[in-house]
Amino acid sequence: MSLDELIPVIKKELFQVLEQTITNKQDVVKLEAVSTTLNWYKEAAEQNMDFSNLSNKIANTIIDNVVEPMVEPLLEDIQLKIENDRAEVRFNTSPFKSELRPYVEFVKKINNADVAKIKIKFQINSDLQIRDIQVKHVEKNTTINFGNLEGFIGISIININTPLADYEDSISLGSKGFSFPLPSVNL
Amino acid sequence: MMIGVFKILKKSVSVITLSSVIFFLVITSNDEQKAWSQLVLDLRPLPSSIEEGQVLEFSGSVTLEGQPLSGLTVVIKDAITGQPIGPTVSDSNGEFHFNWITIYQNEPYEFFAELSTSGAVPARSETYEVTVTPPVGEETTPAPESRTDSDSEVNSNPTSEETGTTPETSSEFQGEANYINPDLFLLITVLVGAAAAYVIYKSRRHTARPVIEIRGGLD
Repeated sequence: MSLDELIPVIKKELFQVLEQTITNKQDVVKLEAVSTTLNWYKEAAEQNMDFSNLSNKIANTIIDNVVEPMVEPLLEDIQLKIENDRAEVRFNTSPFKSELRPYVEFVKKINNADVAKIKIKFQINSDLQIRDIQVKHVEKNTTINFGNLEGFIGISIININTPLADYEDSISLGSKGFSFPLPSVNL
Repeated sequence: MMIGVFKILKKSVSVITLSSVIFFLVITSNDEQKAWSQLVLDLRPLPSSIEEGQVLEFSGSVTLEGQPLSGLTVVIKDAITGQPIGPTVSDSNGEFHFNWITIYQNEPYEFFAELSTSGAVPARSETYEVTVTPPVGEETTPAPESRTDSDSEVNSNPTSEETGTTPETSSEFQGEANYINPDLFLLITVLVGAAAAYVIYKSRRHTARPVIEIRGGLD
């Protein structure tokens, strides 16, 4: 397992944090863009699409785009420290703050042609740190216990673009602190 | 007897091959057109005449296979100049509405609605002719030859009056029918029936429903 393989684990955990944050903000369901999107899914005969399924899709799309730029600096920090310390070592990464602006676009297509779009632009603020990483070098084997990923994620909508109008209002969806364990691996 | 059977078999194989080719062509060629042909942009009839300064109400609906389509941008255009009068968006019932304050001109207007999309969607409504008259009390410039029945002229679809067969072709067919073996005729009928059933089945299965694609990225 390389450090990059930590990313799917982190994605899975952060997805839950993000999805809960979006779903708990019931004001979002009242947005015209959201009701129109749900109506589009209804027209597309996806009858089981409700707000919770939609927020699941939104969270998935955001996570796919933000996790790597959010955690890569942490993984690079780990890599650097492992290479420099050839004995048993215990450390934290430096905290890494980021501000990313992912967007999620719902495109209504008829016969492969785009006929209408709704674009929701988000802002994700994060402050992440991997704490309590333990590295053991025994002969040629290196074992790493990645400790915990800790921090918070704040999410807000900063722009909504629908066929009818462009809304610039910022809507805070909330922020959430978290801490979850990462796996131990042998390199 | 054997030669007769062989002839029938030979003809049957030809018919089956021909039918298969026809199935293939019918089924594969027009899937996309089928989808578009089910997209209906309907602009409700407009008054043939209206006074300048009054509000001309455009309304209609966008449907696909009879189901309303929301969030589509519909543009009302003047067919003579090609200029858009204004855009509007279909609501959750697929309905669109647009009001325009009329401006007098000598010539009648010819209005139609068109879908404004990034893809090539060939959806366009019928065209309606509207004469905007000057307000009462003002002098009018005589309009050149007014077109009376707007709908029938603007939407003139040439109707073909060519019908079926002439007496000559009928008699030829009669002769041919006598030549065809009744069993072969039955086989052709069954094959054509099967082809028609399959085409209907395919066209029902073919879904022209919209598809919602989700895209993401970083700005």
